[in-house]
Amino acid sequence: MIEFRNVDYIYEPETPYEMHAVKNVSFTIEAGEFVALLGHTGSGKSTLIEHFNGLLKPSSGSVLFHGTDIFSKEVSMKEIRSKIGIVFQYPEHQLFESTVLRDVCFGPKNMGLSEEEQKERAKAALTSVGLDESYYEMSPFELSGGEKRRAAIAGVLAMEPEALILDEPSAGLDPRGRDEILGLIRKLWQERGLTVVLVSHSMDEAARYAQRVIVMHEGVKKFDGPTREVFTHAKELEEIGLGVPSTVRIFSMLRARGEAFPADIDELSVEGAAQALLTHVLHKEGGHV
Amino acid sequence: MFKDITLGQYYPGESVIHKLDPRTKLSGTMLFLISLFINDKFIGLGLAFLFLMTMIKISGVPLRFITRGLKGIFLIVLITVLFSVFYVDSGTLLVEFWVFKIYSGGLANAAFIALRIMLLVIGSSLMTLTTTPTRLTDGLEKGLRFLNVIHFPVHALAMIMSIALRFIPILTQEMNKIMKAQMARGADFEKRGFLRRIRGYVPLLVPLIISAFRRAADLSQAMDARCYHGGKGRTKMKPLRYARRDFIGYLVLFSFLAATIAIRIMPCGC
Repeated sequence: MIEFRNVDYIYEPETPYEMHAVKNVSFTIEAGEFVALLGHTGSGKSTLIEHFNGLLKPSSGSVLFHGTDIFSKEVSMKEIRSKIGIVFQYPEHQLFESTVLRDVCFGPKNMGLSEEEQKERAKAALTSVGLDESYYEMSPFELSGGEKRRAAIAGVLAMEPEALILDEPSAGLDPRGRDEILGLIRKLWQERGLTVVLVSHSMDEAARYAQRVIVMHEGVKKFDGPTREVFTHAKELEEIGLGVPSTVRIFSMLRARGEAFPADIDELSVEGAAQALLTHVLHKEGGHV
Repeated sequence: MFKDITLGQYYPGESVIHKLDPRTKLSGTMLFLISLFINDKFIGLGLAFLFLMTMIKISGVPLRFITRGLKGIFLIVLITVLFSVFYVDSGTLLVEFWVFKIYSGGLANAAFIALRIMLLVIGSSLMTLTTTPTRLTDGLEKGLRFLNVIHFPVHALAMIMSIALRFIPILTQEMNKIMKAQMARGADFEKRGFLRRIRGYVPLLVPLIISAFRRAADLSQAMDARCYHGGKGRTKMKPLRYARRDFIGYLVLFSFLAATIAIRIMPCGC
């Protein structure tokens, strides 16, 4: 659905502030995928996501949506931006309207929809992020941190995009808020077949939610593959300062101490890991007794 | 569009100009601006132009980088040029159409003013490009210390200025972020029509102002936490001290000013 072809991006070329942020990155994201885009601060992942909907134009290379270059003349940028929704870091900082409902209407309004349709979409979006009618007429600035963020995500969802790109949607939230937001995103992905790109630096998040992982390092794509496969490169991931999910780390430590586990255990989820450990312990005790 | 603001931006370098005491550069810029207004002949502006180009050459800041800042004032230059072209009626009549009359004097005047404004902007941006905001306000604070005698709050003013300067890039960045977030929601900041355009900026300005207040509150708390209590008894880690290059700098500056005055009182028709 979305294809990056040899994308390069240089900030402020030919000045002392020149920075080559993205270097020759190519990948394709298929419809319905849940991809985690991982990397450290400064790895180029934030620059990369601004390419998804044409906010940045690649210095060289191209970005294709359903096979057409998004910068070609036949494509309307407005349409691209409504089909590929981007939720930036701390999206609650973009709230500006007098009421939550009106703020969520902003996207549909810019798409040129009728007022009823704007409201309809806004209400549906607010419902899907778990904000009911009592919130509609509140000022967005009265909401709690987590609610603000959900309202802001609704603001993007109300455009009914085909793909949702989220830049660290859980940053700055407490563990419960984090689980809520990510659970919500997973629900949207499962129930609506939304394509999701989750930008993060948390390996645990990626392991828990994504099917596929793309790892960025110093502007270069380092790894790209199914989550489980990428996390077998524990050593390299450790070297670039990302590491592996805590569950994977526990198993590799246990293996290093000579404990044997079958290859098909689910190391990526906490539940799977707990199950595997339990089976292992029971098996061992059984052997002794 | 906001990438073009070069005023207040710093261009890192190791040149003599960078190393000059900020007070020297501040008074130098003042003197340069004054000289531009003393000038009433093209040859004087020519001298100022030469002087400025030499300074830029020494500073090592690429010319392209400096002239980028000129884009922002293009409209102002254009308006002043148009005004003087149509309003000055000295010299010979060149073109006449409808109610407009263009005289040779008007053209000369327009060129003179345009040149003067451009030199003015380039001259002041050279100072900010070669001086970090911290050093600049340090220079201001020390240079204006004599005003303390009349109970003018020099330190507070310098602190306000340094905070303001420090926040320009932060708020610019913030603005870019909000702008992108709203553009991702389909906002269009290039709308036609004055009123629609202004209204189009609301989704940008409201979050920006809120964030400015938030940052101000955070900063004042952080300053409080570090026992900031104004300028009284406050010492500097790196106090400013004039070096030999500064005296040479002043010497060059005053000879330039003297030359400018000489050109001004020189009786000649050019």
